[in-house]
Amino acid sequence: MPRLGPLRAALLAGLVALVIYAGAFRNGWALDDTPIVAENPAAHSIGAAVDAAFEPYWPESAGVNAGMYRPFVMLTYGIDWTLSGGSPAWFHVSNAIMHAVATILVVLVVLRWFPPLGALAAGVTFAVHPVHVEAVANVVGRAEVLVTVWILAAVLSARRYRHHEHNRSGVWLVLTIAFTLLAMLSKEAGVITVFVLALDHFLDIGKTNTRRAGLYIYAAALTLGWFYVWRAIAGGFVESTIAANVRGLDAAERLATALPVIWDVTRLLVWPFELAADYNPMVIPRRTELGIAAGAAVVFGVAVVVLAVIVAKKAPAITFGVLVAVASYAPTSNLFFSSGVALAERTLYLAALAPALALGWVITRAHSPRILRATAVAVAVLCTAYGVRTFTRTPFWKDNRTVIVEDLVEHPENFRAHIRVARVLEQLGDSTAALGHYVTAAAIFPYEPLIAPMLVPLASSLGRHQLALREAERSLGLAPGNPRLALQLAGVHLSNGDSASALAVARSVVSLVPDEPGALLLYADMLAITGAPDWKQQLSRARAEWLLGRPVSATQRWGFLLNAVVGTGTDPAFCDVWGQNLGLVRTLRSDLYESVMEEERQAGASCGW
Amino acid sequence: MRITIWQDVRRLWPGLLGLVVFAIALWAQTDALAGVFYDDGIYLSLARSLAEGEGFRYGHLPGDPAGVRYPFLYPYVLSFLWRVWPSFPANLALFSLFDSAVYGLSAFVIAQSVARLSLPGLSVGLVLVAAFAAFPLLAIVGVRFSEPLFLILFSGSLLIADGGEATTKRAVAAGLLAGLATLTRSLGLAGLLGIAISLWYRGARRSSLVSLAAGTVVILPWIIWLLVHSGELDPRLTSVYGTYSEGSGGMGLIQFIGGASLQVFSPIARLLLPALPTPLWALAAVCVSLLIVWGAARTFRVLPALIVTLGLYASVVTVWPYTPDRFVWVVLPWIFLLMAVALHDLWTRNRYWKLVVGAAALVIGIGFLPREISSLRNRGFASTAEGISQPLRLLISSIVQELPSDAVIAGGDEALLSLYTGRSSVPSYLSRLNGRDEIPLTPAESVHFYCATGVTHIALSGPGAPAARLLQTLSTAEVSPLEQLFSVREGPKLYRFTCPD
Repeated sequence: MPRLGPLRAALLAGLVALVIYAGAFRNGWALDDTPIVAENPAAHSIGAAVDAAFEPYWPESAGVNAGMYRPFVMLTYGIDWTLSGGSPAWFHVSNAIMHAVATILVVLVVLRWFPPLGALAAGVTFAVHPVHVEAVANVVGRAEVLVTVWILAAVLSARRYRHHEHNRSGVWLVLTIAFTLLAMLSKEAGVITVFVLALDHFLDIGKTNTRRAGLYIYAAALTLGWFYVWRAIAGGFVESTIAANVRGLDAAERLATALPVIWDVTRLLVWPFELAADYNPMVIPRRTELGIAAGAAVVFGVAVVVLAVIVAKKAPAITFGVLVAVASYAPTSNLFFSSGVALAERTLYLAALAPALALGWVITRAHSPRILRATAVAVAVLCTAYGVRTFTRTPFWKDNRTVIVEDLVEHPENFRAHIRVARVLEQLGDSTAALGHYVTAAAIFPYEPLIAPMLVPLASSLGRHQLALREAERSLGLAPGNPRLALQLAGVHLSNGDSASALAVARSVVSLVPDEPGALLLYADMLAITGAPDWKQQLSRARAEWLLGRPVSATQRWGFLLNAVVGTGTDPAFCDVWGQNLGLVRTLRSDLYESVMEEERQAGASCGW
Repeated sequence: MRITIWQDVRRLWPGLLGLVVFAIALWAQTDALAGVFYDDGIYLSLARSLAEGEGFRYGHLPGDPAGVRYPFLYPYVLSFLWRVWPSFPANLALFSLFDSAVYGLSAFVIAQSVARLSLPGLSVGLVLVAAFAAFPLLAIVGVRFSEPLFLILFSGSLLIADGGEATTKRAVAAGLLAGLATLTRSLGLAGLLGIAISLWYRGARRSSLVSLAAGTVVILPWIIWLLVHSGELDPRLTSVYGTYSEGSGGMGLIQFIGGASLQVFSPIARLLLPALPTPLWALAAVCVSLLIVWGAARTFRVLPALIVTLGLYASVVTVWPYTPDRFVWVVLPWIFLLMAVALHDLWTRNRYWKLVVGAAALVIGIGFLPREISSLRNRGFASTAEGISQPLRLLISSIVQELPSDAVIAGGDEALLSLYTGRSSVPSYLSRLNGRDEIPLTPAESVHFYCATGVTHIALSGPGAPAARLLQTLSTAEVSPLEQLFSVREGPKLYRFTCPD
């Protein structure tokens, strides 16, 4: 039997990673794959991906912007598309290869602490861990794989930099910095690279060149710079896509929801046999009060971190695995700030290092052949079980239909799953069934205001006016300043023949968010429909006051002012301002002027001209 | 196990300082429009022309005349970044990242130089952080000015010149960097001459000539280019767009020197001193100036190139026919260090001097810290830029949506208007220099200029804009060439301009 050397251990683990995902090669596009890859021109050629290098990850056409900036991932899509002509199979092969590379790097990283057999055990565990399925079998999950690849490559490179002869260390320094940058350009979680490098340095048992700490200054500067660019390109959109579980919660309430999730994370890393594509409510419930689960999670989390630090000398691999897992989970944990997910299996890709290194460590600790054989068998059994689960889970990500249907079957408590099904049914023309799922979604998670924009029109069209009214009122109650929801409620009132209530809704929104143009426009529409002269005056004043400090075009300004003059009667202030702008539309927009001549005549009369 | 990361913090402190300054600079970036301080708009306009392959030209002016006033290097660097990210104004993020990085590197370079000063490490760190975070400097770093690039080239050349034995290699490197600094801001010439003089003084005459030659090689093509293109401009634009010799209004050397302002250190005094009765304040300002001079005298032995250069720099700023503030702020870190050297030197003399130093520190603390803290807390350093942006946003929105794409706009921030609207633009207010006096063009001359350059619209950012009086005169004329398109009370106005027959 050939001896198991380091390289052979790495390649073997990589091979396992590749083979275990062979089933994914038959998968197509699923969920986010469609808008981000299949329908995104930026992902369809290398040139287009390069041109989009300073664009947010989500294309504008998708109408979603989750604060993501991942140009390197987009570049890999462009390369894959160029190579395959857009065949999803190739994208899945590509994902599996990247997963294999990540696995090989895991083995190479842990070889510092483990002999080849222990490293192989860690590598195989990492390769077959079921929590990876979402990241590998779903095309857009590659961001997780890539960030892991670059972080681990940076760790290996930094080690060479620390231990290399001084006059030849520059190459390794440049490589480390380059890998750090690539990690951040692959996924926002790449910001933890500096921490991972420092942790690995901290655990460095060998003689370290003391003159290499400058690396952290370069890496920190790079991270700062990346953060600035990310903020400029995509950072402003983070707020818009906060997970439903924690949206609108204050810090204490957010912690009440987020802390118990630590138990789910632990379960997924240790016993990952029950999986979910989506952890929206009520898969993970929204909590507003700290309970026993949250308290216990704090104790558990702190204990794990403290223990990991305590064992640093005797079991540095455990320290590395646990602390990297904690660091990689932290950005999306909702513990420090709200994130776009309450929990997502793909975000635990790097965190799977913890169980992988733990199993590798167990093998390494076996001192006698008998114990070694027993632990090896136990690890092999567990890895086989992981492997079977991974293999059987892979087809879940086959296509949209499979994911949507299977997700509802597995987790009927997920309100989002009902919404997805309802939208499909609506497209298929089964409005009644669709409405049923919307109603179920609203019943499961009554805190989500954005179900109503889908539910209310459908209910109205089916003649369910009371349901439409109830849902429209409920949604506006959840987001009182939202002009879109207010417009919806006003519309329901109008369709019920209740114009007074419609106007009252518009008025209340204007008083809540007087600075919001949408609210003013809604108000204007309601006034126009209901013809309430007493409010017209106030509206006009509000619009004019709003307008004076805003970057609106000359025509818009003129329109607002005209409205103000007409609305306020003989208010000299507005007459004066409007008079100064009199020539605007006449000279710039003769087409518009023709249509408003009568109004202008009225305005002139109001001002006594 | 050896934990080594924290063992050589002392060695790493210049890097840590650079990192901190980089972070401060990123934080100081404003959301203001690019071009609110005029020169920043010109730099970007030149960079855009370079990036779009049109050469070093004022792309916003009709006819795209050659950019003969503004040194070449900063727009050239920006043009590279513009090619990488061509989408304006989104690409401002990349420009500001570059400026911030260079600013951080400047802190790193200056911190390296001061290792040779006999100052306690912690106090040097604090002094440099205070200097780099001083609100006037943050106001400059927050917009697209060439100061950060100038500071690193200028400081780098001095670091090399003062860094050790005067070898030929070192002289070449110092000369090249000083030349590049000159290509960034004309005052970099002080560095080139200062390095040469200091090397000569040290007895390294060959190195002195070599450094001068290296710097000259760098700037000579630029000077030749200026000579070739200096006649291209409409003469009425030379006061703002022409070379300094064109714009100097035929001022002779005697006039130049005779009109010198001896208040080169007044911006420092205004920054550091609290409000005091005028005679007392003047006395304190003189003390501040003496402190700087004293620090320079004490530093000359270890950093001769720096001191000679700063001396020349101050001399040029003294006779330069512009207010000294912006020229002084860019060398603020050096000035703060000279003051720290002086205070430290006095502190180590005897207890009476300790009292004097304590009193000086107290006065400076009372004067500087409250303003600095308030500015940092409220981002006051950015308020001017953001305040100027407000009315311009109104104008830009209207110009983009309402005016034809071939409109030619006359405005107070013409480069900014062109960058954001894509229309050609010219300055609405023009003047000529007569010696040191600025004489505005008459209304008739201005109208003639507008007609000659094809102006179709005139934008006024507010009643305080330089052209407000002129436009008031024109609009009340019997046959006015202006037709008001819109106006916001106490805010911007937009006029249609029709050239009189």
